[in-house]
Amino acid sequence: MELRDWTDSSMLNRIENRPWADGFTGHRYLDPLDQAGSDARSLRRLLLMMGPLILLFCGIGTLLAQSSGPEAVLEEGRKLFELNCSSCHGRDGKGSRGPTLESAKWAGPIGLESLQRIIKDGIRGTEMPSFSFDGSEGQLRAVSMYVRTLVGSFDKMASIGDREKGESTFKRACTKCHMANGKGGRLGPDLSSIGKVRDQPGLVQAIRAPDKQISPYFTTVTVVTTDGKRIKGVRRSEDTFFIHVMGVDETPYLLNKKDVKEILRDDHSLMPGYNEQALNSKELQNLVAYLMTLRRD
Amino acid sequence: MLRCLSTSFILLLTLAELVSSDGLSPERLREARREPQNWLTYSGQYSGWRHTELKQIRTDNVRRLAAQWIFQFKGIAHKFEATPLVVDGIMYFPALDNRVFAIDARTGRQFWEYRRSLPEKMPVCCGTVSRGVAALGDRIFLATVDGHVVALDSKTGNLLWDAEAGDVKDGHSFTLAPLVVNDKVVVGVSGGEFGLRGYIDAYQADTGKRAWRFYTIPGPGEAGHETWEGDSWKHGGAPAWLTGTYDPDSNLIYWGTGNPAPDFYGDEREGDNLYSNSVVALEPDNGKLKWHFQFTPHDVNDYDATQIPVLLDLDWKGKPRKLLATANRNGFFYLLDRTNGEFLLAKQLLNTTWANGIDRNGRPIINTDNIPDEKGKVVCPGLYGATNWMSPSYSPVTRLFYVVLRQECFIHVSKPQHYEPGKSLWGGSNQEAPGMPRYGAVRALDPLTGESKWEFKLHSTSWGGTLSTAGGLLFVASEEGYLIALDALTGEELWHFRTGGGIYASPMSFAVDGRQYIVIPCQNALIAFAIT
Repeated sequence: MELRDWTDSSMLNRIENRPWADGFTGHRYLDPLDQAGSDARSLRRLLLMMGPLILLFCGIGTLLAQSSGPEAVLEEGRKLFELNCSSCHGRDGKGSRGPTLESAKWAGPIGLESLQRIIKDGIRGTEMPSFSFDGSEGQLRAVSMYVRTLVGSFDKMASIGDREKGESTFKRACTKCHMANGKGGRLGPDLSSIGKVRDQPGLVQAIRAPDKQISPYFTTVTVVTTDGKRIKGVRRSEDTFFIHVMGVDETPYLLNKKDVKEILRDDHSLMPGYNEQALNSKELQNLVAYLMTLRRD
Repeated sequence: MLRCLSTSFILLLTLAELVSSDGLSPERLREARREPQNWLTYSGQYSGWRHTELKQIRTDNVRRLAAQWIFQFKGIAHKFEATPLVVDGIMYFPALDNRVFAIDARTGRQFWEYRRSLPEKMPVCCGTVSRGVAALGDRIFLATVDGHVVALDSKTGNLLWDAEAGDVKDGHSFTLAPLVVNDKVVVGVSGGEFGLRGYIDAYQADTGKRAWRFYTIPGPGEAGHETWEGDSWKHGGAPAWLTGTYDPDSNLIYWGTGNPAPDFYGDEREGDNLYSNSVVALEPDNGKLKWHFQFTPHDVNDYDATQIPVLLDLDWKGKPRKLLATANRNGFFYLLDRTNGEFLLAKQLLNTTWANGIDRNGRPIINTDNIPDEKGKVVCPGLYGATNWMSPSYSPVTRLFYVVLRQECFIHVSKPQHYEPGKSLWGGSNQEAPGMPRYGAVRALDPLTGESKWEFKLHSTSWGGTLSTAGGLLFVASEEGYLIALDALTGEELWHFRTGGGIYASPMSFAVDGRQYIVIPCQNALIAFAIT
């Protein structure tokens, strides 16, 4: 094999090696459709506008799928995925050479169509080739259906908590470090779109045990400069010559490594873990319900 | 007055050069070292050194290096992997998607563009990239991503001939810069991931008629055929997707070959799978195999051996010897006798979990506990290898061999898969192994021992190659978008420039009007630097 490589930064696991990528909007790169350019973006707008319809179609889609034996279809899809897709997108679809496929984008019926189209046609100018499978629609559909299961469904995302109470909890506990829709702190990730890129279990883990999975954009560092200053914060990006740190005081530092004596890396997130005492189950449920409403495009 | 006269004289000379009708002869290609103002083949010289004899840019003035012009092509920028050629003041290079440009090397201004449409559906593993063109006479040769070899008129870009060299529908494509040897244009096919049977072709430069084809997998009745189980040879891969080198004295070309297919699943192609992951020495007149050396027999980790075979004439154990040095994707540096393929030395470059070492015959001692299976194994070097197609350099000044290394590990999963035309044939899957160290490095080696003399660490794993210079410099490009100048003797960083785009290419150098330039492609731009 010659080499991959998606030029853009849609692979989260490659982000830290692409420091020229726009570190401030890291979550944007979770979106694999950014590859496809303006077509994809207009599709996304359409998807948003048609939100209520999507839920309806989604139901119908599920019914249709069930009538044709969804388990068998998904199993076929899984096999085809492993054979054709996993070498680039990873066995679990979390991305490898290619981007992660875990995106809520594919969940609706338009998602299914665009997914089928992308698989069938490939994406010009990238390494995503076209796959015709056996030439019929059946296999194409099976793979697409399977890819959608990698995401978690809309059902899973629908929430039972109280969003309004969740919002007040958010304002009290989270906005010191996180922004949502333009309000809040700068140290942690902007959460305005978090409902699109995380499912509920993911959010629960991020709140209860933030150390378990830290975005490469937000690892904790203390930079010791040659003149003895210590700068603690999150490492937004790093390359051979520079490190960009958002200090805990929200000052963005771009430090030339020539002026750096040491970079102390910390496996712990700057975000505290919220245990049962800090945030009881009900509060957590409400908070997650609110976070799931954050779906800014 | 004198100065004015001499300037006019130089100008006249330059013009004469530009309009000279005899163009680029095979003799000039062989003696490329004598005209360092030009960059006549992919690696600059047949020997594969990627070294320039120009020394206007030196360790003591490199800090004054500044961009002089930028050429940008329109369209989606993906991976701009080309090394431009410079022939008498004109620069030729391919961009992505079957486009070739000719520009004025002094100003970056375009003379012409050749475009060739791409088929609607095209199975390529790794992008519609091209790494360069070749030149002879007044012709420029491109091996196209849709499986053709074409000749263009160097003054207009007009198509002169077009030879089909492989069926693109089945995954035959070209991504390399062709190599002109005497009157022939030599190319190697890409597409091992689609289960083709690899080959190296030569076309007559004047007519486009195919002169010979060397299959990298021997057919029935040929020596080496027995190293393939059953019919596995028919779809065994072993492409030849990077430009080889040539030794005019022994009249042999040296070409690296790629991995066997399916990549990770080897159970149905038992045997060494010759001549996959090898270097083959061929006679350029007829494509006859003189010798071969296989680095990774029966590979199941995608360890192509396509890296540039670098030709050195050095004393080995007190006697002058014709050597071939190569840093292999499998994690080892090798030294061979290039007259007969004799194995002389192997030296481990990075952690290798697939092999415990190399035995005295040059055969790897396989770590049988770490062969990819259905559950997957963590393999180092990972899928992209300890190094890859980015060019190494050899400097006759420092007598050091420079290579860009990638420290990373992957999980390789092996699963049965069978050939279907035009479909990828990985025989499993891969992904980056989490939690393993990952970084890049430029290392200077003593080619006679493989010992490291110095190493310059890069934060990211790099796809950029090196260029050494007679001015005592080593230029290296990082995937982060830096062009970096190091002291070739010590590895000390002297200068860097942030291009602002990802770099997937190796630097080159040329001179025009008495001025030396360093050129690096990045994103969709070529940037030319000189001392100001």
